[in-house]
Amino acid sequence: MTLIRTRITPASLTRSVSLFAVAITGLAAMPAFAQDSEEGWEEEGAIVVTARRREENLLDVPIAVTAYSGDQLEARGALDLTDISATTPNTTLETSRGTNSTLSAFIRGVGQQDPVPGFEAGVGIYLDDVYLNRPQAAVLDIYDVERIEVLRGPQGTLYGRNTIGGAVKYVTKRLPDAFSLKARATYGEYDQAEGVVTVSAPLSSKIRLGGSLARLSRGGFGDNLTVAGVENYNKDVWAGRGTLEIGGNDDPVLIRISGDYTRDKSDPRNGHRVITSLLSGAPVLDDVYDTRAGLNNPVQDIEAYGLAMNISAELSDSVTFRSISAWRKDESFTPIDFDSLPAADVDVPAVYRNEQISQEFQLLYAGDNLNGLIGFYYLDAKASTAFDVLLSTTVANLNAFTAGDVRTDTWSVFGDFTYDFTDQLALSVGGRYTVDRRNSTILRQTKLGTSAEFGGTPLILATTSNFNGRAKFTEFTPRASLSFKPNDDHMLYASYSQGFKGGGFDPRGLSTAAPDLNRDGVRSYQEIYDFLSFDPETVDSYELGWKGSLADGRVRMSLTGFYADYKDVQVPGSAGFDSNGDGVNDTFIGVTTNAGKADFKGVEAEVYLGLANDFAGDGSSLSFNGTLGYVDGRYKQFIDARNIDVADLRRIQNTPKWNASGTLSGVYPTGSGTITTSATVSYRSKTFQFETPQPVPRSGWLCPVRRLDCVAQRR
Amino acid sequence: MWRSEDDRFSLGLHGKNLTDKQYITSGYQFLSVAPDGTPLRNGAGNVIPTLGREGVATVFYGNPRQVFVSAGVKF
Repeated sequence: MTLIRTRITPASLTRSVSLFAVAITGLAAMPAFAQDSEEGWEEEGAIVVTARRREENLLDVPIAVTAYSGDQLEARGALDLTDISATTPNTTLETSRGTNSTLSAFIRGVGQQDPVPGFEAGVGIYLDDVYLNRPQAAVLDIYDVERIEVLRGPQGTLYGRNTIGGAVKYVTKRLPDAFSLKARATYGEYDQAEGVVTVSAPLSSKIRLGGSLARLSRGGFGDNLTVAGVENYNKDVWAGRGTLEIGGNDDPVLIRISGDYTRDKSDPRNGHRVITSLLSGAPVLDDVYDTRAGLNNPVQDIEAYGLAMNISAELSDSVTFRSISAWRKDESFTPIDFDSLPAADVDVPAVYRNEQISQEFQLLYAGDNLNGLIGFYYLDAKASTAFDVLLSTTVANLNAFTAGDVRTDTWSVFGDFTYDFTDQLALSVGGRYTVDRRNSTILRQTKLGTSAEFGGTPLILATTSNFNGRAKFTEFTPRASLSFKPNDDHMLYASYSQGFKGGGFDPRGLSTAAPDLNRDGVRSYQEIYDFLSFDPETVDSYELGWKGSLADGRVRMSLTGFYADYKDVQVPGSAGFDSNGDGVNDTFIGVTTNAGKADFKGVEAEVYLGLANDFAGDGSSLSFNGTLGYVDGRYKQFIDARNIDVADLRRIQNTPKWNASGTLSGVYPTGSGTITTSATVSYRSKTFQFETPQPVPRSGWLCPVRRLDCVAQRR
Repeated sequence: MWRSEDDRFSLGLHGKNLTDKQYITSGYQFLSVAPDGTPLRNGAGNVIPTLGREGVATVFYGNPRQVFVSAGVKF
């Protein structure tokens, strides 16, 4: 979680490096296993996805999609959304720094890791078709899941703003018609203890009621050595979901009302210092999961909840009306001890508060040759934060305080239609027009003492920003694809799509640092406005793909090649400034600008191989799932703090060049049941956390013997 | 994982990160750096903090090896 970012040092750390994770899990078999498939090969390719907001077979969709069924996720032991990252090509989903529950998501090199309101997401997260406006509490725990879809590349037409890298769709299970009670419990190392109970019952022939309750807990991988009773990297979550379904099945109308609640009281997650403390001389700890962090105010507490109503009504054989209404709210109290030491040296008590209301209408048409939809979307959201930066080691009780409040009011109209010229050839064309309004307040103050929000009675010394600005952005984002099916087993497609990430005002900007451009001796509102504001960034993406099924489904492949042109990239800390009026920029002021340009070339491959059937008794089988991702991304322009183009020195953040995984799954019938096995090996190459590669320093010398932290220094 | 014939009961054994690979996922650093990102050093050879005085250079690690058992029942 980047709460503060010093502008002199764009906080950049080269993230290590190669990750090689192996997971073996016993597993539940895929439901469609064996029985449904003519030849006995797993019917994974037949998984139905709604990548184009309508139900289609995965292999028929001209979009790069990876989909996991709920059973596959259970089989792989996936506990939360970040667990699918390793087996999804060119996708990084991880817990943000210093948090247990805030999501950093990147797909094909585009995303967002700054969780402060004012910076918009790059990958859209959808919970049952409801867009989550903020990353807080978006590391969704996996329980009661029907499937998860990861859509790669910009999805600006059907998913709207902030899906510039892609979209992740989390789809919960529909309620069954008959009474059902399920319970699942796990216990393991570090006192991992989880229990999920799901119950559902029909109330009448048309009404069903169901719910899940989950208790997810684990002791820390490490301890807090300073604060008694606080662990490091633990988990303490209660979560629940309730659903009421009316109609459906043979009824033309289905109304689904659902509510969800998550309370995360895990201890704060603090980092491992890699250098000896300069002031107190505390040495580097041996256990990388331990911390000496002294800050425990406020007590970490994250609460997120929402209500949603999805209505689907078949108006005729070919026309369906759909409405998706939602209200969501979350609040995160979180102490972030940046120095990870007892001293109040960059200690950050913080709070985030988010609330959103959204409404979407869709009209879907399904004809003989023409399929598609038109829709309208509206979102009204507020996101606020307040955080102290306690710097007592610099000046006793010194506090650099920041508060931000960002209102978003956005609506859009969209449409996407596919016309089948023949059984083989189809053309899809779509577009979306978005009006995106932002209203931001930025307050920065220098104080003595902790803010009242966190229990203090501070003295305000100076106000360095007190700004309110409004901005309106309009964007049209098109998409087109041409697909060709030489026969039922193969599809080739070519597509073009565009997406954008919203603009706004730098929530960390100092209005007192705004340049007096006309040198009239007054920093005017317009000068401050221009200084703090930044525009949307856009991606144009071109893609070629092949999805195929060979040997009666024994081999299934999808192969995608893409090129993406990334423009007006929102780059932090990059405004040159001429302070003495001699015509030369002699200093800089940290503020987000659109000073970057980049492009990406890449490949994604996914393969399923049915290796053997009935080799160890009837119904036994062995199969392999492989994924491979490659992204060659580079900055073509990156104007830095000195107004110099340093594109050659910058890297694409959070995007390994290579990533791969292989999963071997087996099914072995026994007398009383079935034994299933699954083993996954995954790999990611060196990854840079920020655009500026930064070797991790070690005490005394740059490159110590411990190679892991140091490989990053190799270029 | 074992699953009974009628699908009512299941038992499983799961392991993640079996090689117990230590890997860094992210970090914070508030140090003076050269334009290419290399931390600068003062005369004494120490890194130079840009915020606070202890020197913030911390990293976060991915999960270590986790082994757990699971049991499920359906009605």
